[in-house]
Amino acid sequence: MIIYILRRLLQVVPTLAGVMVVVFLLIRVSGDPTQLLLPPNATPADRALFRKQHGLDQPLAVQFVRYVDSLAHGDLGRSLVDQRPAADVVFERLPATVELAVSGMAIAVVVGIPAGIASAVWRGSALDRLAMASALVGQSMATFWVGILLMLVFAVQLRWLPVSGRGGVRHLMLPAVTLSLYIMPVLARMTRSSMLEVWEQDFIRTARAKGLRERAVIVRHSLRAALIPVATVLGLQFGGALAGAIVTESVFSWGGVGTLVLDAIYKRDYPVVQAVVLVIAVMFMLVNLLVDVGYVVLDPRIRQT
Amino acid sequence: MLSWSAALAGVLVLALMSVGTAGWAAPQPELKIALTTDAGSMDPYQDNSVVGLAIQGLIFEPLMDYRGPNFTATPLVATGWQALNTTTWRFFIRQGIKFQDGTPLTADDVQFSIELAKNSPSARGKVANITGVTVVSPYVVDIHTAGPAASLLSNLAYIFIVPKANYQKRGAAAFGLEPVGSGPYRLEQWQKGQQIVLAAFDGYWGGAQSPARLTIRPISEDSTRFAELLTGSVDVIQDVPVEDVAQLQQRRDFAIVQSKGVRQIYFPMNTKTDTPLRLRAVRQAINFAIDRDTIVKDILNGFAQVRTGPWGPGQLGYNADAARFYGYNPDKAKALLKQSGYPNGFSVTWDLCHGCWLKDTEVLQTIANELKAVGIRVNINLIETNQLFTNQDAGHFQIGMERWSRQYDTDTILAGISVQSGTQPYYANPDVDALLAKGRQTLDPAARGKVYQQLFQVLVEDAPFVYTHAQDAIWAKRTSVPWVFTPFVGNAGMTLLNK
Repeated sequence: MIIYILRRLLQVVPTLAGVMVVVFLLIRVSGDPTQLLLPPNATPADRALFRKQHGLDQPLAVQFVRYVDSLAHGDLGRSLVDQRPAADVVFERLPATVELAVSGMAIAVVVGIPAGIASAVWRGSALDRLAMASALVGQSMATFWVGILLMLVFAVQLRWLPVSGRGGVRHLMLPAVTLSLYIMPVLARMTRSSMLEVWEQDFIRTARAKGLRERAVIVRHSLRAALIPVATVLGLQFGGALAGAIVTESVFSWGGVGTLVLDAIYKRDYPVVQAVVLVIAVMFMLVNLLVDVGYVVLDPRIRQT
Repeated sequence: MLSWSAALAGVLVLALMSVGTAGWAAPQPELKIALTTDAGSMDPYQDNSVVGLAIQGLIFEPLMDYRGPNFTATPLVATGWQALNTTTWRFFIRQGIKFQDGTPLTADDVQFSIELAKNSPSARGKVANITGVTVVSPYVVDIHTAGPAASLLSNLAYIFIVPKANYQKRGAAAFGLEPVGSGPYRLEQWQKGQQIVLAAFDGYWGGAQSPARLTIRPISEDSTRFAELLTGSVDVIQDVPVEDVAQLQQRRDFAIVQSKGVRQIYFPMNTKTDTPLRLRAVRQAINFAIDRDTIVKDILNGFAQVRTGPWGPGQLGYNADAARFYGYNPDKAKALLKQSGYPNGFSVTWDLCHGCWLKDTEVLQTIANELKAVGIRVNINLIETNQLFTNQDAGHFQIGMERWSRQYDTDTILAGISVQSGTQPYYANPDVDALLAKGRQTLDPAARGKVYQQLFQVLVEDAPFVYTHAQDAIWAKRTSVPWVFTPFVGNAGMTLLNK
């Protein structure tokens, strides 16, 4: 298991290198930071000075070499906006995004997976149809629209919850539910179809033939096998949660990495965009590593392959 | 990008402060304001965004500013100034001013701040005509300019005085996070992306301010900001969506605060491409083909002012006669096109960045329909903001976009819309360059006004821009907040104390 994990960690390195190169090039060809970081009355000389002060007047290859060198020393560069280390800029906002993403995922898992199981168990029933219709509707609704709707109902009309901003649990509820509605339908549908597929397997037929109660068949035998593809989806949805968090953070003024990266892209704050992408990529890969480790826990046979 | 209405944060906040203790019905310890964005840095020489400047203007002060309903030049850090000759101005520094770290403000700090500005790509334009600063004594500085500099005072209103020793010791990054100024408020807390809390500075030379605490929340989403006002979580909001104004106007507990025509939208036409836009008559035809009243009344619900020239009434050099040159006249537009050799019109690409200004897509679609009626077929090219400006700077466009606010000084407007040749690759007019230079060196206000009136006329008739409108600033507040909005002049949100 340790060797498996180490091998997977080593695979992260070339992936991250590829991500670094792509984001480095993409952000630089996408626009000029002087356009929005300097006032409209900035002269060509002002723009040239800005580029010189930030090393942007160097050839692309030189900039890349310097970037790689600084990364090797643990330096993610300095924000073009305020000169602070890009790492500081990202990490001070990261807890807000993690809090939102984890909360959203937790709600999605707690509601979505049992809903999927119930749909599978009572397949064809009114409950099944309701759950799947809800999942379809949920997947079709834009996060932005859902968030504003929830805000209008629960914050403005009912005054039960705050409108926006980060604070305690009450502040977290609306944005976390909004984000979970983005993930929950996928989990519910995946769980349902996975459960139904597992029930076609011989070992389930055997379990029933042995006289086991249906509850035991579902929980002890079916669920573990059915959760393997669900775990895969969970890992992928974490990336979706981070992406969805960008919109949710904007609607609820959550102040996390999502709103940070939007602003950084808009202003072409190269170091901050690169830092955000790097950090998110690492998080995404670590989460998927956890998912892979989870496979082994769910199905020990995987360890032997 | 400078967000025009973000600068109004300063007007808003500081006008509120101007009401002072006399204006509050009851002691108000705190005021909560929702703006559209967060500041980037509290270092005025790092962050030139209008929100940044507006908040910095509460923490720092310049030598002088324009205050009061008539925007009178008002001493702040300086108690007075005099021109020793046409290229040297002497400023007398107010004694007894302390920075928020307890150190005294002296001439050395003034010299250091101007030097910082000269090395700052975002601020050096404001001190471009300053060749040097001499510290004559601890409370006297001489500022030397390259020739007569008519805009010196208005530019100095943007130069905040920072503590030399503190800044040099800590560096720009640290200073920008925990600033030290001599202004009426000090930064108490800054949760990035969440809120900025300013507390009244007890040692402020002008006396304690009210309210004692300002909480500024950056809320970019219009609906969210509006909802916060409705629920009472904030007292004042910036930029009310025009569709929501009527709802607030029906309620007694809220008041709309409107400032007319503060943000003009300009559409530069590339005169250096091999397209019909190279011809003045064609550019004039486009201006004649647009029904500005429809745009202002029907699209923008009356929350804008018609503009037929490079700036509006009240700005030095406004030429009312020249402003009457363009009216809605599609027949004249067709005649000009025919005269130019385009009787059947032509096609043109018009760049648009969505969300860049109020109802941008609707306005441009309206313009496109009106131009179609005279034979000009507009292809709206929707692109991202940064890309639009990058293309424009490189001359890779046909019709583009600029947006700029009213300013204290007309020269600042002209610099912002880049009409001078050499500052952009798509327009050059030697008459414009000559008048620009003359305006900068004419010290007598009346004579300067005449120069700018002449320039106004040239820019109208040569039509380097499509002129349409200037947006109003629409804010809202709870009526229990005693606050009077004053006409906003420019990006100097920091200096809008109207006492």
